[in-house]
Amino acid sequence: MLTESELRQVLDAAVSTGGDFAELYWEDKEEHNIEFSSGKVGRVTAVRTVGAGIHLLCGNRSVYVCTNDLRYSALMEMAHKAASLLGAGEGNRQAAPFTHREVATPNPVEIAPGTVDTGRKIALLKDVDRVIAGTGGLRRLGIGYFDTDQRVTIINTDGLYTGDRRVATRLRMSATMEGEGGKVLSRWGDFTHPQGFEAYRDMGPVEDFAKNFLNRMTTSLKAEPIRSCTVPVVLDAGSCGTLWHECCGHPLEACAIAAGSSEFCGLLGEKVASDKVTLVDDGTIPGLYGSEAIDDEGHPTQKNILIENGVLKGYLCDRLNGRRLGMPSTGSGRRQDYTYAPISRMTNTYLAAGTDDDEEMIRDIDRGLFITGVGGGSGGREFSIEVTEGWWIENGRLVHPVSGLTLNGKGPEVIKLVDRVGSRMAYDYGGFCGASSGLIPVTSFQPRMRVKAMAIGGTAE
Amino acid sequence: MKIELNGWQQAMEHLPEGITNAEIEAERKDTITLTATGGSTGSASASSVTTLYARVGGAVSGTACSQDLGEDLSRLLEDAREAGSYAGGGQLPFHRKEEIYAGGETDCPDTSPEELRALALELEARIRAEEPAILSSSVTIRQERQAMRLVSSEMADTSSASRALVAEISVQASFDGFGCGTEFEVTAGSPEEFQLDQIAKLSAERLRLQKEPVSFTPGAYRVFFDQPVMWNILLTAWQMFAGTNCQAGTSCFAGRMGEQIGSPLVSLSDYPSYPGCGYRYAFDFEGTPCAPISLMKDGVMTGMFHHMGSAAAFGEKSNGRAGRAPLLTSGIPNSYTVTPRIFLMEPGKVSRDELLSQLGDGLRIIDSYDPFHCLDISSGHFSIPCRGILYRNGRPVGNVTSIAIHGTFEELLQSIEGVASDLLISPFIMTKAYCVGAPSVLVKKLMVSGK
Repeated sequence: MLTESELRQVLDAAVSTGGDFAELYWEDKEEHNIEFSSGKVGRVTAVRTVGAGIHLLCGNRSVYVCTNDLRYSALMEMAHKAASLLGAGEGNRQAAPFTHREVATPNPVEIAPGTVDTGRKIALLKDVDRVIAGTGGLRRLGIGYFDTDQRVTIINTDGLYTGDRRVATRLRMSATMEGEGGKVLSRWGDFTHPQGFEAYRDMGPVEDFAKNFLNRMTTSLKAEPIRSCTVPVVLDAGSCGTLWHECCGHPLEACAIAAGSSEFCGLLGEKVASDKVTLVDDGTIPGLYGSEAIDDEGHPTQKNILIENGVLKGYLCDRLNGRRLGMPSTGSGRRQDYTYAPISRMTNTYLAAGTDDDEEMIRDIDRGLFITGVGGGSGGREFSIEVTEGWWIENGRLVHPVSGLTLNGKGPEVIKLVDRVGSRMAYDYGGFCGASSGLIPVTSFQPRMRVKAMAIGGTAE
Repeated sequence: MKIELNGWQQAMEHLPEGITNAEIEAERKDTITLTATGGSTGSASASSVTTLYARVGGAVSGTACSQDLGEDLSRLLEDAREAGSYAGGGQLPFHRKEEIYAGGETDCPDTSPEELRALALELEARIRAEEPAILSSSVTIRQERQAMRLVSSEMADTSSASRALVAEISVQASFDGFGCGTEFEVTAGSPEEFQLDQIAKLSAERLRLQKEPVSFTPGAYRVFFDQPVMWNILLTAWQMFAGTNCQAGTSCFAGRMGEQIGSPLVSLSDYPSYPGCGYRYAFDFEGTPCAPISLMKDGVMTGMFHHMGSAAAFGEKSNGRAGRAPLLTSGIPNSYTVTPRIFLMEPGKVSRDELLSQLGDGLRIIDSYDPFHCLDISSGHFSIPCRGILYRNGRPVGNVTSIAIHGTFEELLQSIEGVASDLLISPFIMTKAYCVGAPSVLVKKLMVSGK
């Protein structure tokens, strides 16, 4: 790491052609990956990512430059390149003296992954493999181990000097399973923890996750197609909250609003959803995959209420797009690593708990769908979500599992039709969200809730 | 654009204990982007990132990668040996020196930021001029200069360098209060290769095709896929031809080599370079030259993507497709696998409009979403959300949204009745690790759901 004096000179060089703000993001990340399949250890790889990025702003314009040549001379060269690309003219701004600011992490670490012997990590994989390897119908099983220990330092011309350490471990299970009649299904699932190796002190949760992962595949292989229809849809508590991530979260990111590509443009303060809907994005919640002390612009993460009792209250803002909208940062400027400029992203997005009864939501339905598992999806003017596990409801009872479903529609239309929100919240292990600033860890969750009418794309003729 | 690897010979002369083979591969990517929006200069970016990868073999086989340019290369080889000491004992394959790609090019063109900015402004202006309903538009011109260098313990030393340009277009419009937008990318090898008027017309057309939806009756339809829809499917479907997946039995095309899988109109290929596409791939990270591959010829499966390991399992030689899984492994892709280079469906001879005129009564699918979660490689089943336009007697009669197409990839290939000439190649989203190209196609019958 350069001295503070050198870092200030880099920032001063960046704003030398009229930039009104510059930030330097310095990253040093160590990762460890172990492949394990068919009972054998595969490749073991150590990965080191180091680099720095300079974000230069001038009003609503920005320049981002990055390099992994961390010598002072190379960073000065990049700073001058940024200044040249901005090309605004003469600048007389100088970086303010640094004030060090520390923000407590919501995810403290007990056992740093780098201190754990590789043999212990391999023993963990063997333990998990032993628990599930004999599952019937399993054609292939892979378990990948990933840990990451990322240290970031963020300084800027306003005098901020801060940092964060983000540690996470992850087991990726990937399986191909064969059911009756030769039906084959491939799927993967991540057991994630924003912790060090202490995440595996108690093997119960990871073993439950692994068994549940394969049980769900077994259920899916027995699922029957249904015909396309418009029916009430109940989405179970937990990771079905992906619906909110896709149908509201992405369109409420300031980058989408500033670009005019969101259906929520110009609706601030207006009723956009049913009274039952209060939607929150909160990067401060301890123990969740999307939580961090600060965002990737050095702003402390915070609880952001996006929709309250159906009324649109706010957007998720990074510094640049906040400027474009005339709004302050909401601690939402995030990026995968130093090679990406920060942009407004979600953290932990959830539907706040309501007061409705979980069982009544299903009991009350003549014909409908109960979704208990979703895969990934996409957001934008229209959203889509892969349904990995669901049940057909008839006369208030679950009749059979269903297959081959995708939920898609326009977010503003769907959220107006929410007529039940349960009181029992369930969390989500979390996963990755991909967008223009790369893949970042997020969670999305909810209590059980119901949409009173949704078009379902079934595959049965 | 040569990559400096100071002290590599010394590192190779003093290999870690027990190591008999070693390679260091370096990849450098210098990127510059300039954006024009609303007639003005917008954001810009520049990056220069070099990544070092080491592979060692002998008593153990292992790998390591680092972006720490100050790291001693001997240390990197030792890291790989140490990682290998835990691995399951499988040997990494290595080429002999004479089998490694024999090129050595380090020069590639470089267009100045001023020229790139002028190009972005010119294209953005033409796009806005093409359609008055446009509310906002932005054009980003990205220049990617990529270099690779591979050195080995047999003192092989090979390099390649190439330059690609990409135009990223994002446009939002409102037609009588109906909001819509489109985003797409076009590649070229030089600024002159961009056909600005054609791109502007394509932007406007993609906007005008979007309208308030009408109601829809689910069922089996004769279907026309616009180019982006087939592109989205191929973005994931290439994995069915991965030698690694066919070897593991996790591809629905495992064991199908030589069989008639698709319609005789369908040919799928993978190229190291292609006219009009700026990207060019000389060799893979095992040093194997990238050869053109025919994966499906006239509907018959004719090939797979191979690295040295998967090729050996089929008694073949690698065709130069060793790659690193681009997503969801770690910050630096490092998971050993096969990846395509420029994977495409070979275009037909008829224009898109001529082919569309054969739709008659049916559904024209103009866009689809989320290719990653909608196609199962092992079964071939897909359920893809999309939007389109209903046609009756060859004329559009109403738009439909929130619909989904269903079936298997094999059924889809069998049902293709026509392939248009409008091939468009775009790089893989986010990491740009490879390119995919697709034309529009006419499909005899497909299940479509929706409201």
